[in-house]
Amino acid sequence: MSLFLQLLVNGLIAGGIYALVASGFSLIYSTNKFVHFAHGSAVAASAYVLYLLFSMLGLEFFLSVFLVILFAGAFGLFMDKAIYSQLRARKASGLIMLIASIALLILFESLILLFFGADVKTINLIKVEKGLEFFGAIITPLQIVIIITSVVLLVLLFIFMKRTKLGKAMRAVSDNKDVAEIVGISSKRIFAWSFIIGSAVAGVAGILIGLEQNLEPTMGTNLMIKGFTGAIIGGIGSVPGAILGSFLLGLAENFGIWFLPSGYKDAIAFVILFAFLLFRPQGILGIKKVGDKSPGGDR
Amino acid sequence: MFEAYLIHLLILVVIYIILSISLQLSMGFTGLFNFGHIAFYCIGAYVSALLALNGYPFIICILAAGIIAAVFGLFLAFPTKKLKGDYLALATLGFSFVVYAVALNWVELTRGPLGLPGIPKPEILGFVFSDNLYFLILAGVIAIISYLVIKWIVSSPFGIVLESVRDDELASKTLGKNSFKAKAYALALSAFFAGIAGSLYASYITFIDPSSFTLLQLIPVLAIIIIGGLASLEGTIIAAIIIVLLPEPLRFIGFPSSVVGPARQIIYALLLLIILLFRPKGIKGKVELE
Amino acid sequence: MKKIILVFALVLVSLLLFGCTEQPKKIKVGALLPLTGSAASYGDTWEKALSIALDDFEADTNVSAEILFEDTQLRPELTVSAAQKLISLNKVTSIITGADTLVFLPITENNNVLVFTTASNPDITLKHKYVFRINPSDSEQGVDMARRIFELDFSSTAVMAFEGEYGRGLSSVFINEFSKKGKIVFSEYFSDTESDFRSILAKVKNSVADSLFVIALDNQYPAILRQMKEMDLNIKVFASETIHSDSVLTDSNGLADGINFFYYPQTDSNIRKDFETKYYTKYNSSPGPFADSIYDAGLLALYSDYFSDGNYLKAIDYLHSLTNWEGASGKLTFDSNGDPIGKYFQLYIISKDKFVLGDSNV
Repeated sequence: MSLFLQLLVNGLIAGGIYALVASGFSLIYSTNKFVHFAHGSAVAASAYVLYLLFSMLGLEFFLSVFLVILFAGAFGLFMDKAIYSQLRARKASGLIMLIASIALLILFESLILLFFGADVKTINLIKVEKGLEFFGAIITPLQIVIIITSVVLLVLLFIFMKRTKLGKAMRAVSDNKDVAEIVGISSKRIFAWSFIIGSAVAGVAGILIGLEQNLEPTMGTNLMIKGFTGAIIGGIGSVPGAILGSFLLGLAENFGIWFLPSGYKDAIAFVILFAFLLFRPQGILGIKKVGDKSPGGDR
Repeated sequence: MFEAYLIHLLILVVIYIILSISLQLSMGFTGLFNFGHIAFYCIGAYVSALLALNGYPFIICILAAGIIAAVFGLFLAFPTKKLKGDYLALATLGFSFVVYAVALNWVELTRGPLGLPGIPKPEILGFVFSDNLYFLILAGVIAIISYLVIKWIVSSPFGIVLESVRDDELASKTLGKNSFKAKAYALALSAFFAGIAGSLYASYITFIDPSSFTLLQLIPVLAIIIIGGLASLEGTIIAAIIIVLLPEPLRFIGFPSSVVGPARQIIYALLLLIILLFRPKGIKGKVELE
Repeated sequence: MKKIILVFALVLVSLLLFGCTEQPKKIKVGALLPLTGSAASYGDTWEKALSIALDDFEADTNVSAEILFEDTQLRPELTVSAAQKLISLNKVTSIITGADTLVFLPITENNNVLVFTTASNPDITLKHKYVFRINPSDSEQGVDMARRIFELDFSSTAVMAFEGEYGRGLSSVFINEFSKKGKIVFSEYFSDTESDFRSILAKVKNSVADSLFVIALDNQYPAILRQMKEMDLNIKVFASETIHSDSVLTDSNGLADGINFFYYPQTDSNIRKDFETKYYTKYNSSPGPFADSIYDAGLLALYSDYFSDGNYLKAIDYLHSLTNWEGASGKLTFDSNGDPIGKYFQLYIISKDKFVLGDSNV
């Protein structure tokens, strides 16, 4: 029984991590309507910048966190301004944007590899002690923070999209860019904001994940694939869906390795991703809208 | 010393040429954005390596590599029938992740991360191609044959069907062309030559493991066909030469391999972005990347 | 078509401009080390040890020699391409390495290049030619460890090892031997860059295992021990020789106390003392794990080339003729396979943050 509970807890922890990545990604996707794979590099870069500021330069922790989130938002904005908005101006298709985002992901991952080296790095903040115990399953305070943060993000982003002016404008652009422009919403401004906010969330993700796991240069790609899978499972256009899908993915991985060797975790994720893309691209919560350009929607 | 290194580079150029003109067949001519191409390269490499390690002659190894890869290509055509554009790209990319995971985890067959070392060099009619220069000639001949075959395919009536599927699938269907059959054949043929390239790669490096077949390996191939221009075989060949040779001066200037490795990827990623931003038709492309 | 020729010519010219000039003949050996990546701490100390070996050789013989270093990042495919480069391009007469050896042995065998290694997978010498191993293979360590675990009255063990030539080699020997009298509850493998061991540890906790044999890289042990503590997993831990690294002691904060492992015994010969002094003088730190063995490997590579004038058959004869050759890691005599005779593993126990020789009948 306690193995079951521990796997459940591990699944929620992994799900929380993937949800942190998927939420920002999904926000950007739903507004911009293309797959911004380079989101993973925003997460990785944030983790490495935290390492740079806190572990290498010795800045105070919360100051470093603040700077990292600023950096992350700016990093996302940079990618939008330098690359995506230029491509958008010449009416590039979703496919071109996808290729560009993959190129950006590889570009930044290689830059991290070049400057920080291939070895694994740790950010040592938390003292080691026995975790908290719930009915035989162990969880540490940091892991609880990760899970709670993902859930809080779910709520915050949901409120943001439904209640705030900016959020509503984003939804308007997402539903129909041209009509939104007619009403006076500058889609360029909205796109920029979606990148700033989405990437800032990536910054939070990078910080928490960097504290929980070790830093290695390929972490961006790995996390992006998992986050993307979670978003697809839950329904890629929906932020709450992406978060829920991520938790489901985390649980599926960890229960899956009850019977299989632990090395199969990634394989489980890839098979789920492939299966969903082929057979249920709109995800579990899938809502098909007329004129929806998302995978599986009408074109 | 310098000639030996040049021969090594030319062998890589030849392998990349085969890998990229095969992708042109499905992407450039048929409009199928098959990001899973590396999976066929991987399958071909493993099939060839396993057969070679079990004593089969090279001709069998390389043909089996191509044929089995083609079977997988055909198989991939079915579930991806209705998919288009970025969505097809993602689904095929997902396929290549699954193939990678299989190579990594099916340890009984592939030895997983330990890889397959000691792959024998090709031997044809008693002649062993152990010297790199002879291997280059062999690979070059295979590349020329592949080029001629692919050129013949795209110039034939079938090739015109492929391009019509790319340009306007609806119109093509209206005219009675079975677009699914065309797409399936295109994928299978494309996979066949990727498998051939994989077999050559395995025989040259003499060691393969799953890490040679990830998303990272897709980038240079993608860069080559976009820079060369979609649907242009000549452009692809020029681009392949440029892409393989361009980062090499870094090594000569003296940077260690831990710098050259990432620097190479950075160059490819930047080239890809620049082409997408400023010249999406590539060097000789006739078709807009769309 | 003209364009293609033009591009090709341009490329050829630029390569020629950068191309290398004729080198004067001198002794050239290659070294494949994990200079960056998950095993960088080992690669770094090994590189330093080899440069001291080079200094010592040149001082003794007055002959100019060169050790060409290539970074493998502990990645087999990089190891292979680096080996090919060293052999076909740089024309080295031998290759020195501390890890991932099996992958490139077919290439060295085909090219009559000698290999000097501290890697411990048994197949290296048993199934390949021209290899000389400085330390005993894991066919011994695996057996020793199994017997030690029995000696302490444990009988059901779980094994967790990092994937790769070393992890697989050592764990297979161990599992083979242990299964004769005890039970292997399960064995699992993880990546050399893995940092989250909780799923494996959860399985361990949930199983009937009374002991755990961990085969990991030095930078992974602290994480494993930390996660065990977080999960309240109190089980007797046994480790492999890779744990013998100062960073493990400093990063584990006392959690490593009581761990049993086997390591090559340290001699106190003059050669070793000299090596340590020179290392300290040049680098202001003490030699890391297996640095002494790698130093010996370097000397053997250089001297065997020197005494045989680059003729590989003469070099092999020379090496087999050595009896009790004094190295920093002990006295060396090679058997017909290339394995060292008379070298053995010794039990160590971590006690109060130090590596202490243990008492054992094994």
